[in-house]
Parts: sequence; C-alpha cells; structure tokens
Amino acid sequence: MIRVVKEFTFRRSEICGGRNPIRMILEAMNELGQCEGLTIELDDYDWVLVLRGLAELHEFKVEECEKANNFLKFLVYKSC
Amino acid sequence: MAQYARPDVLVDTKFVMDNLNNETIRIVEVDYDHTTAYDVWHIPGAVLLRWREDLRHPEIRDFVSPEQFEDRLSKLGISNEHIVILYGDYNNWFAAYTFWLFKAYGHEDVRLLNGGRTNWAKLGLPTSKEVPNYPRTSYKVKKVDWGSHRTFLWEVLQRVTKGETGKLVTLIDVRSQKEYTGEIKAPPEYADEQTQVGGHIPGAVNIPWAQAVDPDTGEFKPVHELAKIYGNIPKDKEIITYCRIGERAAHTWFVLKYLLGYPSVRVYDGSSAEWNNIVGIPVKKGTEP
Repeated sequence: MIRVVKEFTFRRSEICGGRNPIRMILEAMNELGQCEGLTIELDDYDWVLVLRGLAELHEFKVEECEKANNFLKFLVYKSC
Repeated sequence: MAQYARPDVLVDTKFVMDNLNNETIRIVEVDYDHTTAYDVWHIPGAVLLRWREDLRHPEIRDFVSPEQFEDRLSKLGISNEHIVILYGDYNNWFAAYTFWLFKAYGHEDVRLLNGGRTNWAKLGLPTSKEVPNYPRTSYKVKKVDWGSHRTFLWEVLQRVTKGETGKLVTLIDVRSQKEYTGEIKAPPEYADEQTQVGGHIPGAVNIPWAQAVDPDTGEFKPVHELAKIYGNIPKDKEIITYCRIGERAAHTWFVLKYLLGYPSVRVYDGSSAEWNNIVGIPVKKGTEP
C-alpha cells in the first residue's frame, strides 16, 4: 500500500517565476521513502511527458489516475 | 472563417512535422529551465536557446547586446536567411518573448509554433534527446529597433502622471486577477519573488494572458474569440502590455500585434518587478483601473 505524503496541483495559467512545477515535484520525489508517493494534478501535457521521462529515469513508478476538467492526475511513488 | 492578421508568423505542428529536415528552417526551443524541458525531450533537430544564459544580459537587467546575439545564433548554426521557428517551455511565453527580441533585432523571418510544447506533447508527436550540431554561421544584426517594441519606466511614469492612460494609451496588465488587484504579489509558489507592494499601474486594465489560449492545447483561440476578448481595446490608441517580468506581456503583445493586427503595441518589460519596487511610485489596488 502506497502512502501519499504530499499532493500537488499546478495550473498552467498560474505558473510564473524562477521555480517551475517539475522542479518542485522532483524535490519532493527525492525525499520519498519506500512505499511513499505523491499525487500530482497537472493541466499541461508537456509537464506530464517531462514528469514521466524524469520519473522513469530515476526509477520511480508512475500510475495514471482519472482526468477531470483538463487536469491529468498521477500517482508517483517509490516501490515497496 | 476569418484569419489572423498575420498568419505567416504562426505555424502549426503539421508544418513543423513536414519541415523537420528542411535546411532553410531552424527550429529553436527557448526555455526558462531547459533541465526540465529541452533536456528531457524536444522536437527532433531543434536547437536550444536558454532564456537566462543566452538571451539575458550577463550582468544587468537587460537583453544581450547585438554582438552577443550574433554570437549565440552563429554558434547554433542560425543564419540571417533561416526561417526561425520558436517554441518553448512555460506556455510558449519565452518563445514569444524571444520572437519579440528577434523582431527588435531585425530577423527577417521568425515564426511561433502554435501551442508549443503543450500541443506537441498532447498529440504524441516524435521527440528526441539528441542535441543537433549545425555548422557555425556568421549571423549579423542588421538593425536594432527597440523604439517600436519596448517601453521604459520613465515613459510609462510620464504617461501615468500626465493622466494619459486610458485616453491616449491603453495599458494592459496581463497578470492574473489576484496579482492585478494586489491580493498576491507573485504566484503563490514563488515566495522569494515578491515585489515590495502589490497592485497595478494606475489606469491599467486587466486582461490575463491565458484568456487568449485554449486551456487544453495551449493554441491561440480563433480570431473571432480573440476579437471578443480584446473588444474594448481601441485600435487607434497606443497599447502597452506588461506583467511581472515581461514574458507574459510579450505573449499578449504577439496576440494583439500579429493575430489581431493592432498597429502600435509595445512591451513594458520592466513590468511589475520594476514598477512595484520603486519608492513613491503610484500603485493601485483592487479591480478598478
């Protein structure tokens, strides 16, 4: 059973600045222990593709959840 | 269906797919943070321009000089004759900002990929991690035209103090409504990027940049929808767009100038990061201009 330790929601139209959502998610991913995960809601297909690529590179698992109101929901976790 | 005022400066994904190996075209990704964009995936054959390292002045808040611009483009194998197609991270904002810079530095044929990375990813089009290496060129900046592209603080301040905003010039604040009203001083994730005070330049109207794009694909809305969104902006007055650091303002500048055909549009790139930090300068809070 994966324990969700943090939840993120990033709306494309509200993001602006020196830190980007992927960076924030990566920082949180790096702190995950075994059987721990993050739920992430994004409304940008680019971020999703980047996130999948980086998660696989760092050997995290990605599970796609439901889509609602243009938001794509994911569970990113470290296996038990 | 009505067309954009300048359809020649906007290309779609099909055009790019059909021209991936066209030697007269250079596809250029412009990223604010390439480590979470170009380095992970990019359009095959695209070269990278890093917004902060390659296009911002290395010491002061400004853009690279014409000589530095020439050097950057020459190294990437971009010549004056190339058709340059720009796209990038952050909703194509920095690609639009770079389009603006290319225009100010007189590049003949520069275009924007509609929808940028968002739409390319949504359509599942081919991607690459390979960094191409094109032969060095001798790029030359043939003219510098800041005058019709850029507004500085002192001009905006003069316009505001003379009461010209809303009369002779239309100031458009393209930030989110919460930033415009002063409820927040920067988007919530960026606690270290706040200005000293929140609010907007007196007289500025608020039309957030995001209204111009389809929220799913990131592509610009059709011209009749754009015309409705900007319907209250007169075409016979000067227009100045601004945001927080200028990139969203350049996006709306592109919409007004090239998609809707407004004749006189400039970007105040100092934007709220400059205005809202100056001692004694007028700032207005709330929803009224």
